[in-house]
Amino acid sequence: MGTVLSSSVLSSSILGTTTTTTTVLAAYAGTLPSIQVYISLLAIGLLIYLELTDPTYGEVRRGLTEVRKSWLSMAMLLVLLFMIIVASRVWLIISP
Amino acid sequence: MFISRRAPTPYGKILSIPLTSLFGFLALYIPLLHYLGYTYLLFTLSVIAFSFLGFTISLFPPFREEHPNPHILPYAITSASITILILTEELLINSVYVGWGLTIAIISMVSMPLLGGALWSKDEGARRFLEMCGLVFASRAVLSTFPVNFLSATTFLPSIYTLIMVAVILYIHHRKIPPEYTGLARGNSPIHLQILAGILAGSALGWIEFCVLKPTPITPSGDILQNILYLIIVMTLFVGLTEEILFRGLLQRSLTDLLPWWKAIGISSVMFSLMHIGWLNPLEIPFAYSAGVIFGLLFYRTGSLIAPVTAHALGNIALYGITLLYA
Repeated sequence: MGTVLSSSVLSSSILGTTTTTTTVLAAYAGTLPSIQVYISLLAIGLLIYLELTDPTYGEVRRGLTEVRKSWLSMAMLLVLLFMIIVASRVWLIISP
Repeated sequence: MFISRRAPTPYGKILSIPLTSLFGFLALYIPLLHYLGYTYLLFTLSVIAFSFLGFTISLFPPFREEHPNPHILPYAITSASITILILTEELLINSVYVGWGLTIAIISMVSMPLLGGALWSKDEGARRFLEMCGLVFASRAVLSTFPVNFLSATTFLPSIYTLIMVAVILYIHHRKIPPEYTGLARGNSPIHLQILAGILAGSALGWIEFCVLKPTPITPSGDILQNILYLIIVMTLFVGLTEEILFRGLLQRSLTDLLPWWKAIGISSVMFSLMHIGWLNPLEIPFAYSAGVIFGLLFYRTGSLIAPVTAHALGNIALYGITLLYA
């Protein structure tokens, strides 16, 4: 295949420089707390929706029930993630 | 349904596709490398160019395909739009605009099922495809927002993939999707042949990916046997199984209901390759596309996830195993 594909620069996983990943990682670290808050709010919102559209409370419109089925797995995923985020924050606070 | 379709697979013409795509990619990549240098701009442009190339090759293969549904244009447009959305989201997440990328992932995750219900209320196949795209965005949101400092490095991968697997299993259970549909069955080929095909494909792919990526080791420090055991368990039961159920068992399978088989494999492989943008390596994208096509063909031919899971797991085991030896 020639020297282009066997170049050490091309085979580097960090585009041949540490500047790019350092900058990206810094942006990621700065954004992560706010995105975790949004994820948590979304998890709570989805939980409320699932509760309000629970068929045991009475008849629910078919469209809302279909969306409920679609969002159920995603809601569980976000709730688990929310619990892990909360546990990590608590651990950060109480750890020596 | 697609298992019973026994039209001969044009392997010769299929083999011409990766060669054509590789040549097409290099024809764009080498001049860009010469004029831009090995920079982030080169990476971005080459990813965009390969996405377009991969999608075009998927939609216009050099052989005829038949499908029960002749009206595939709306589905092709929908999958193209979602591919562009994934491309935008992944490029933003792996840049200084990571917040925008994650916002797109979160909004897409929630809105895909809504769009499915609104646009394709009478088309269960299309609705199912959009819901599965929502799961793909959800997996990205989980991967990116997981509190990494909470767990040790060795428990990080199993934890994240367990979360994603829980969501996938819940979705399969609540939508009453039969196991045979997602490939969670023995399939129509002998199991030992499926495993053998997976081993051969995975070993070759792992070695090639090591040449492309040269990653850092992810195994716990300790003796070599402990590290290999860790790799086998994590890469097979967590990474390989989860990603193959998601991308082949759900995404590709749902696309096969809407589009001809090669288009379904190609488009799902483009989406799979775009999820590897995080490596920030231009050559990883066409490699991941090729791996996705191989896994997709294994799933399509056998009707089971045994071969693709074996190939995917062994590819990652070979990748990090060789990394361990070099380290």
